[in-house]
Amino acid sequence: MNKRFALPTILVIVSALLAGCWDQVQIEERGFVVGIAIDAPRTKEVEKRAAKEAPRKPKVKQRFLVTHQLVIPGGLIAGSQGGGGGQNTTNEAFLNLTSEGDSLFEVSRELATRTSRAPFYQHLKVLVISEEVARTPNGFANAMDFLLRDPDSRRSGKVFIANGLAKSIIEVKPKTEKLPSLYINSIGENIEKNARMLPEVRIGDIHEELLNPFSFVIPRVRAEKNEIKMAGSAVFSLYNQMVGFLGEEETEGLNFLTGSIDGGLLKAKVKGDLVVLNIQGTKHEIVQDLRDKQNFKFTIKIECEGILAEAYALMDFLSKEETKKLERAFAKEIERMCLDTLQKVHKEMKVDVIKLGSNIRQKEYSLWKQIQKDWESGQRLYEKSTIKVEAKVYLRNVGSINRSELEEGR
Amino acid sequence: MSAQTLSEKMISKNHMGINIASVTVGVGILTFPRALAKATSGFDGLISVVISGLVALLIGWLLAKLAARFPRQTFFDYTAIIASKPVAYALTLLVCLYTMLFVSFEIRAIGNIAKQYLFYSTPVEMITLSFLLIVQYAVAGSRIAMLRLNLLFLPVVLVVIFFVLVFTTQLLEIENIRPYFSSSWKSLLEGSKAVGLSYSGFEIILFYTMLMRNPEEGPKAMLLGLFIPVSLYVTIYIFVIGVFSAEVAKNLTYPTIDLAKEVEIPGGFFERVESMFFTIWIMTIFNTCVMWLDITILNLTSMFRKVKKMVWILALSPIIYFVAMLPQNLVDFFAFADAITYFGMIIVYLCPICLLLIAIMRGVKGHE
Repeated sequence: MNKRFALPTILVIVSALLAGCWDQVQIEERGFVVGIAIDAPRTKEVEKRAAKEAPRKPKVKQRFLVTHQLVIPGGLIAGSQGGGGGQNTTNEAFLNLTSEGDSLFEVSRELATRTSRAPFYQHLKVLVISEEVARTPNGFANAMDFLLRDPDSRRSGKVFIANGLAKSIIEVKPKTEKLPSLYINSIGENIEKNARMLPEVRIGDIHEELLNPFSFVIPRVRAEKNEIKMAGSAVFSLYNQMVGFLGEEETEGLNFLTGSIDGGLLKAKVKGDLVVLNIQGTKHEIVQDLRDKQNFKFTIKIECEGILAEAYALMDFLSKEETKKLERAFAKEIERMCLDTLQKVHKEMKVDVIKLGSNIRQKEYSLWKQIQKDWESGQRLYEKSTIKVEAKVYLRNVGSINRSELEEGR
Repeated sequence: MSAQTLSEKMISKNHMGINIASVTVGVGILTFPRALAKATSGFDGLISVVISGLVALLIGWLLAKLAARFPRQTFFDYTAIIASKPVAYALTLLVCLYTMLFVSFEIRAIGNIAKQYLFYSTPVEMITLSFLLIVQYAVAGSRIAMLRLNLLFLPVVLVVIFFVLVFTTQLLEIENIRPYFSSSWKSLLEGSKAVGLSYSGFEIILFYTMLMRNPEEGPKAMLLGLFIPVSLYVTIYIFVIGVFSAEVAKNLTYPTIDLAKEVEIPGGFFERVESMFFTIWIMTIFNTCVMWLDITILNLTSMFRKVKKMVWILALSPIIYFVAMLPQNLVDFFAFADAITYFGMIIVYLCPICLLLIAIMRGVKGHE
């Protein structure tokens, strides 16, 4: 090519390409959002003020009070004291910012006026939504839309429903962790230890549930002074509106019914004294009899195995008959728990959180196509169906000892 | 040793297959699960993938047969032999238009997706322009060397996609995949049509057979070239449905990107796998794009032998760039993509098949 053109061409290209990077954001300028809590506003004050400023602005009925939890990286370093020249003066690793608005994006952008670090959602770990928001029609789905739509955020954050204020959940100051959100996140991972916790529900799973015509459950959290308790579950109807809570015991029953137990404990009474089983795994099968449309029959078969963890009852755990007796007692306890849960979700709340409908859909698709509209709504075939539970327990091991005490000792 | 250098060497059967696979895997890989989940009811979509793969193979086989009849001759040359010069001029010009539009489409796709996921505040115009400049650079050099890039890139692409899929296995849920085989034939055919758009590209055999050492191996190359995308699409589709369920897949703009975003490997650099996914995806688009531009130039130089390659590159680029900027939003963009593909069906599938029939009837054959 001509040498005359070379220099001008290079200059043009260089000036176009080296002028700067549009998207350069220094890592120190990013506000890593690790947790979000969504509440309904307590007062109408902000709304009134906003209405005064711009009376003709488009408005909707619902407003959200959103708390973002940002990480202060300096606070994460152990032993770094405030005076070291960092921005961190309180030595806390997080900063909670609460703003009100009727769209989540609005709130997110409003944060930019209040903090030096613009919110960045890629590391979002925990999303807590208050009971109040979840109970309003469409409120839950509306609160989820922004995080699902934003290409910047991911579908892997965990979702919880707060019993009470959502804000207070991410405001707890745990002793073991620096960041409340990470603390909540790690608690959510302890499902193997306790059967009373619902398996984690991710933002992506919520999208699935919102689109599917089924009821669903989300773990419930409750704040206490320096800690949170994650037990029980919030129940949502097929219209994606929260209809109630299940207690801890009922959640355990539900976990048995859906076959989502990896570990936990099971208490039963034998000869008037307690025995405790350490659950090590369950198997779960649904047998369906769909001949009579007005009375579908489901049998949920649960098989559970575990080892003896604690026993107050005085028996010879190494004998065959006694083991059988124990296994029967545990099985009965599982059945009792499941029936209690069924009583509530099937008879009282009338929601198909055991996903029997999904089971029909998977196995008898042509039938499902016909009854789809009449399952939980319409003719309410779910309500009219009969659900039975059959449990079986295998006691694999009795632990290191047989007896801790002799009969004569009592 | 022969005196030939690598850049002058003819391409082998397997290399041709890799070329076809590289050009086929493009933008469609990101969007086809959505279209497919919409048309069919979930899992069965993979039957559609296979059906349309077989149709593509049949068409590709015919195209390869046509090209193999005229070894060492360009598309323009053999069209002129079969159906007179004026027809050859008209058809080749239309093919050039098609391939050029395809380049516009690909560079705009890069612009759109890179803006949505990587550069939030860089203008689409700038992203697209810088990509186009690189494509120009690649096309300006030796043709065989450019095609050799496919051999380098495709294995990397396949390995990274495999890596992404392996890490999503923990998110697979069997209840999302069931029920199996519940869609009607109509919806399966609808799905085949939807995924068929993602197979366009294999027609490059019409133009590149002249570079093959043994042109009669074209049909075999086509088999390899389509086997890779078919199996890739089937796997990706199963994973998308298994991880998201059909209902969600229908409602994701780019399901495959979201699949890559779902993956989280604890600890450090690889935690965000989608960055790797984007890298390799841009590599595939680069290959696709370069080949389309090269074919445009190849056809133009075969018609107008006096004009130099470089002149065509510099003359066409502004037009390509301008056309790429025409779609105003995502909906326009997808409509643009569909329009190109339908246009292409007539120009590069239907017309060449007619040419083949005429050639067989008149007994026209090329000279060795």
